[in-house]
Amino acid sequence: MLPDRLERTSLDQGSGTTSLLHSANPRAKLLVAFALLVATSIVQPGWHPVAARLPLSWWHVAIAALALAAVWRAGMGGAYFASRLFAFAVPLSLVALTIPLSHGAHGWEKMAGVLTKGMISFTVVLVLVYTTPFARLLRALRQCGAPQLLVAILAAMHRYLFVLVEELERMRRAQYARTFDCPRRLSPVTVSNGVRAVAMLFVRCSERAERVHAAMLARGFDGEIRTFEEWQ
Amino acid sequence: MPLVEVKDLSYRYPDGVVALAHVSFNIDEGECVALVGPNGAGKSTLLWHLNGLLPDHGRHGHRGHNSHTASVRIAGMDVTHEHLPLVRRAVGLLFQDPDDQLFGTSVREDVAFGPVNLGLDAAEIRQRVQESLAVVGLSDAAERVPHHLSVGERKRACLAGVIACRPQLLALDEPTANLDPRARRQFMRLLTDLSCAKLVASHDLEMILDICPRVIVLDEGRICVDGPTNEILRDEALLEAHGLELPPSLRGR
Repeated sequence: MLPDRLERTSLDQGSGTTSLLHSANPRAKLLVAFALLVATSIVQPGWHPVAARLPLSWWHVAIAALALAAVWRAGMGGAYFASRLFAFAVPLSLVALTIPLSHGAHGWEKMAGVLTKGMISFTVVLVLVYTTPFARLLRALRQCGAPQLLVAILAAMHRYLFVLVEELERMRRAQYARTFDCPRRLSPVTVSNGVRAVAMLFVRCSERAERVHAAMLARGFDGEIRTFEEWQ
Repeated sequence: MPLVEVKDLSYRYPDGVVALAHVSFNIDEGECVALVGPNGAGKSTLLWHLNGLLPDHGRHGHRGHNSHTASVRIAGMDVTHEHLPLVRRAVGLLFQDPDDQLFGTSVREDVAFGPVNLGLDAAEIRQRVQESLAVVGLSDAAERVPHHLSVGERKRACLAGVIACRPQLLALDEPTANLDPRARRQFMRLLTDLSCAKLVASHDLEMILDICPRVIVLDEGRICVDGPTNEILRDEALLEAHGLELPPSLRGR
């Protein structure tokens, strides 16, 4: 049970902490975060350029500074922030690497611009999610006029993310218990086992989805998503 | 008129496996009946039938004609497509894995799911949620998120979600599976306190001995015996023939 619990808490860490940012109105936080995301993507590099050829403006630097200050004020902890940023930056870099390959001259500068903007956006979203319990965030989304279907999908996704991670953990543990291999070492066996685990997880997810749907039908669901707005 | 009438129900899965063969039984209002049998006997399939949940059930012209014959009546209504909303209102189904059933973002929202879909007004929804949570002893957990609950609490939250729809029949799939002894006792007490009819599919023969006066033994999709718990659960030869064994409290007597 313990590993499950560890996994679970690491997924929604921050929901127990308190700070000024934690207690701020979720709707206000959502709107500010949205504004910062929009600003990050629409600010033109030519407006107050940081350096020639680099597609970044001093406005981007200002937003980044604001986001970092929020990370600090939220009491996130350097290691927590760095590990999340790293996990996001790796796949982003892989995608961004195609820019210098396809753009030739100035490709590297463009790539740096994309990477920086991506990481700024990620930091903004991270602070929002870290300081707002997910249920409140969904409520705020609904209040700001997000479509009900979208909010319901997000809610189900968040709910089943935990079930999924627990399931994956159980499968991996069962696999390690029988492979007699060091799980950390990368070998053809561990890779093929990992691939098999993912495939198995897909099968189990689809079976679970069927059961969840049946459970919804059993309680009167007829395809239309209704929520009790009073609590939204 | 019996609450549940199942007459000559047969069901075959799309892959050809026969899940139920000529199953017939009735359940009266307020009755508590156990459904026992080995794994794969068709217990869950039977429960799903009561709620019209199987894919081809009640859908005309959709693969279903040769795979089953519709012969389930709940409170006088045939379980067919047009009656499904009323049938599902009458039958509350508790799934074996609480994570299948607990899909709300908080316990309260999950319990409200049924009443909201029934189209009740706000005051009634609020009242039903409060009452159901009080019945299962989770009034303090209303705001909690499902993944922070223990397995026992999740089961009780699921039960609250089902009883909030005020069903006439509660169909329970392995209600005490994965529960520790204390949570199991608590859950059994809860079930005895509920006055609606119950059909309990389980391997927990001790619990059945305690709460169900009547037992149906199902094996390979057929009903083998249907009768009083006290007689059937004492018949060692019968139980062993169907992959079961005497409940510990009856051994050596």
